Amino acid sequence: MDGSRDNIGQVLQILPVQARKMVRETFDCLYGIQEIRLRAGRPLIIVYRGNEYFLGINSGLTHNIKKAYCISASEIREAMDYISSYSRYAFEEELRQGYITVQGGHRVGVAGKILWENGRVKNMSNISFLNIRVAHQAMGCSKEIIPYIMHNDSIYNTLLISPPRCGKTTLLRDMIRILSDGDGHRRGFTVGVVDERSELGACYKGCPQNDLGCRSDILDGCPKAEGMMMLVRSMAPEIIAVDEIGSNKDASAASYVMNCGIRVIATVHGIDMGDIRNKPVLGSLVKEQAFQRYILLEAGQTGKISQIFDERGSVIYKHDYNVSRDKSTDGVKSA
Amino acid sequence: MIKFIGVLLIVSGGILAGNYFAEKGRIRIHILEELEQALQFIYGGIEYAAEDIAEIFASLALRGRYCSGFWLRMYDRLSERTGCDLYSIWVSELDNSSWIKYLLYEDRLFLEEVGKNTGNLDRQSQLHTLEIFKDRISSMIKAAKSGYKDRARVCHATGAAAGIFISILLI
Repeated sequence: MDGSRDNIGQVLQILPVQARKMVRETFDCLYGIQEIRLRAGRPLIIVYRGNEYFLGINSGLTHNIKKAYCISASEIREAMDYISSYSRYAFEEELRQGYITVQGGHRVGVAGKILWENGRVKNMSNISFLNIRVAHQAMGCSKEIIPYIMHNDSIYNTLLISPPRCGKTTLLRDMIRILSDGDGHRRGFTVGVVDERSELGACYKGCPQNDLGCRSDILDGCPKAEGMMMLVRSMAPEIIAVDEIGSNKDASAASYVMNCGIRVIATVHGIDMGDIRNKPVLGSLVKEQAFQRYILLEAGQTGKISQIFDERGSVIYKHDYNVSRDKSTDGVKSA
Repeated sequence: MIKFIGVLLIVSGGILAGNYFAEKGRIRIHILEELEQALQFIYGGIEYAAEDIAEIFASLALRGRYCSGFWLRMYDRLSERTGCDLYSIWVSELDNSSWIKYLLYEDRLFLEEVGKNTGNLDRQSQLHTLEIFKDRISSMIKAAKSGYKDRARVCHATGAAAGIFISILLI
């Protein structure tokens, strides 16, 4: 299910004037647009429904590079003015990380000349490459797993495991929304979200651009360990959600939170349960059975749940994708 | 009788003209003071809240007596995103401001420099630049205030003297 917000205006307003006019003439809504890539002196590229196109000189999409509209360096500067709201100083930290979140939760990746100091990125100048990634929410993608993490009137401490780009964050975001909102059969929980990289809430000027439910409190841009402690002290959450725990500090903070009687949902990079057990930091939490549910996502697929394990590592849910694939192939053939 | 009335009108006119020039100096000081406060406000907005510049301008539009229209128009123009950079919008809105006529040429150059160095710097440089601007405007105000009383007295005296002189000349 694609919950793409159809507000093309939010993306258009960060494009340089000429490109904005042409994109507006080409598209009525954002549906299907995944990326808009701007490179100084190169054609503007739009990734639309999985395919890459150039924006034509006379609007429209084309595969012919000779008919493509090229972006100038001054247009990149203009776009950067819009993206940073004419306030480069306000986005220094984001520039260091290489992206800026704009209104609507859309993320703009930036590349240019890196200023390196004391072993870390100090700033970025001469920005010449922009990648506007249009935000999409997969509303309801976690519905299937919610019953597996529910426990009486609460939830189990849950860890989402998958390699990068398999939809951990998307799944976590949807879980937060569902748990926070509740439904006819289940009450909503107060969820504290520590959103260190603004990936969950995609906050713009403090307001979450992604729907994280009506009972969620978001600490945006806050380091995970400190954020978890702050939420425990200040917001009385029933559940704390964090993305990508990995350091010793994160694990200690998560452990502290669990000991306070607050449930934790977290994500971690990993291939399988064995991989998680062998991680020096998380391994001890697994051995202590701090998490009661482990949700493993299918490698190479986006947002597909492979298996769910309990605290002892026993499989309580397994999805057979081969059967699904065979079924779908059969469907195509018979059609 | 008519001559007397004429003399009275001319002398009053001279005094009023002198008064206008003296008042112009006083208003200049008020405007500079307001701009000094605005610079302090911008500094605070960047230092403590990391607000973007358009938001800071919107807040400034609610304050002040002379420059609120300028800040409001700046906010509107920045929100329109019409392809102009901040500096060119700043300069064109300075031209459209009625209070700019009370300022000296040097004041205007100073304000243009402020516009040129706002928004496009990293945080540390932006704050440092604003500190320099605050110091400069403080000394401008100090200089304007120290010379104001003498200049006002000269304006009043010159106005009155000019009125009397023209009256004598006409009689």
